[in-house]
Amino acid sequence: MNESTLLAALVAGLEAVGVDGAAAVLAERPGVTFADLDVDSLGVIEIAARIEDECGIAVPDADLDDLDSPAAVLDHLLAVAAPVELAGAS
Amino acid sequence: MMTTPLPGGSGERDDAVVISGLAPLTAIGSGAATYWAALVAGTSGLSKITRFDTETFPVKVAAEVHDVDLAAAVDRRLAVATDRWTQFGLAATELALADGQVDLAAFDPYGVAVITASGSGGNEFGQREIAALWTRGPKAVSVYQSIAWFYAATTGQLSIRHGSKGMCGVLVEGAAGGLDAFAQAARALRSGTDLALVGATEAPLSPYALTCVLGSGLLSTASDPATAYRPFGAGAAGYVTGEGGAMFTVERASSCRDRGVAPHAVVAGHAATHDGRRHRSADPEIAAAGLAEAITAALARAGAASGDVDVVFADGAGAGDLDQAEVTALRLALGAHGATVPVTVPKAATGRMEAASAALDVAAAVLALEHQVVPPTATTGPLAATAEIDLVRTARPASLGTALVLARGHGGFNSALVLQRPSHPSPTTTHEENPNP
Repeated sequence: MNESTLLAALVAGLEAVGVDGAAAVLAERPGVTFADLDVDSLGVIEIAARIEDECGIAVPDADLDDLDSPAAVLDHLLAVAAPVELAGAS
Repeated sequence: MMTTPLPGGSGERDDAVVISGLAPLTAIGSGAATYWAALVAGTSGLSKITRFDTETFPVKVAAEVHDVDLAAAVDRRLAVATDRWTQFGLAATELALADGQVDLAAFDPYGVAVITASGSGGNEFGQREIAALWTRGPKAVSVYQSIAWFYAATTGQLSIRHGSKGMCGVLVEGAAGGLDAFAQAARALRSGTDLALVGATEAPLSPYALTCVLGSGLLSTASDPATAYRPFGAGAAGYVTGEGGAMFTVERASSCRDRGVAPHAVVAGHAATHDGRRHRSADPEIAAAGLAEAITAALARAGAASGDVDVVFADGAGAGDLDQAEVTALRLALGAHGATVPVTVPKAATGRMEAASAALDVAAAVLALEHQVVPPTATTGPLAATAEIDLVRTARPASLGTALVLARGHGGFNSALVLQRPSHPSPTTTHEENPNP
C-alpha cells in the first residue's frame, strides 16, 4: 500500500467530518493540526473509522490520543502499512 | 400541579419574566416579520412531503421548511455531527439573539441557561445510522450518532456554541414541553440565571420519526394539504406535523431594561397538569378536567381573571374527542367567556409539531399582542357541532392585553401559559429593523 493510497484514505476521513477541500488543505498546510481544523476528539475517531473503511488499517482509539494532526496520522499509517507491504511481498 | 407561582402579572416589575428576543423558523417563513406577515395573510405551509418517498408510508402531508439557509448558521463540520432539528435550533437562536439585541459576551457564562424542549429528537440522523448499521455493519455507523440523535443534543450544541455554563436541560413531554420550557426558564431566572435561551424545534420528517407517533392514531393520513388538518373541524382527520419551531431569549424585566431593550411580552403565569388515561376519556368533562385545571392555575398565578383572557392559542389536535375536550376545558375554566373569546390555531399553517409548535404558538401570541391582531387558523370547512368557540379564520384586529397558550402532549400532558403585553411594549418594528444598535 503506497503513500498516495493512505493519503487518499486520510483525505476521505477529513471530508467525512466536514473539512472541505481536504486534499488542498493538506498540500498547502502540511503542519496543520486537528485543532487548527476545528476537528475535535470525536471527529478524529470518525476519521479513523473512515480510514479503516478506505484502506483496512485500524487505528485503535488509544493510539489516536497521541495523533494530533493529519500528518501524524499519515506517519502512523505509513509505519503500520510498511510491515504489511513487506509481509505481502515475501 | 408541577409548578410554583411565577412573578409577573404586573408588567414591568423588576423580577417579571420577559421575552426579549424571538425567532420563528417555519414553513411559511422565518424571523418575526416574515413569519407574521405570512401568518396574517392566511398562507399555508402544508404540502406533499418531499423529504422522503411516501409511496409506502401512510402520512403524505407535512409543513416543510425550505427557505432557511442552514449552511449559513451551521458549517459543514457541525452539520455532519448534528440532526436537522439541532441545526434549526442553532439557526433560530442566532435570529433570536439578534432580535433581542443580546450580546452574550456581555453576560456571565454561569448566568446563561439553555432550556429546550423536544418531542422527536434527532430521529432522522438516527434512522440513517441504524440503516448504515444493518446494511454495512457497525463500523459504518458515524461516531456522531453518539451525540446527534438524543434529545439533549440541541441544548448541548447551543451551550457549546454560546459558551453558556449555566442551567441546561431539555423537556421531553410532547407538545407541553414547548410551554413548560418557559416555566423552567422562569425557575432558572429566580435562582441566579440572568438570561435563558429557550424554545423548541423539531424535524420529524423521516419515516422512523413519524412511525414513532403513528401509533397514537392522531396523525392525519389525508393526501390533500388543503383539508388534511382541520382543528375543531367537522370530521377532522387528525393533525399534520411539520418541521421548524421557535427560539427565544428570556430574562428579568430589570435585565432587559438595563440593556436598553424593550421587552416583547411578559411571561405572566404557567401551570401544568397530567391526567393520564383520563386525557382520552369518552366523557368530555373528564377529558377536559386536567387542561381546565392548568388554565385556572396559570391565570391565578398571573393574577388574571378568566374574563381577562383576550385570545386563546389552542392546542387544536384535529381529533374529535381531543378538540371537544379542549372546548370543554375553555368552558370549565373561563365560563361563558370560553364560548366568545377569540380562539386561534396558527399551527394549522405550520404543522402541529410536538414541542416546536407550542413554542411557535408563544411566538405567534407575542406577535399578536404586539400587533393587536389575532392571527387566523388556516382551515376551511364547517366546524364540529360541539365546537362552541369563536375560531378566528381571517386575521382580526382586536384589543389584546392577555393571551392564553395551550398545549397537550400524548399520554396526558397539559400545559397553559399566560402572556401579557408589557406596560411599555416595544414598537412592532424596532427589533427587526435595528438588530445591532
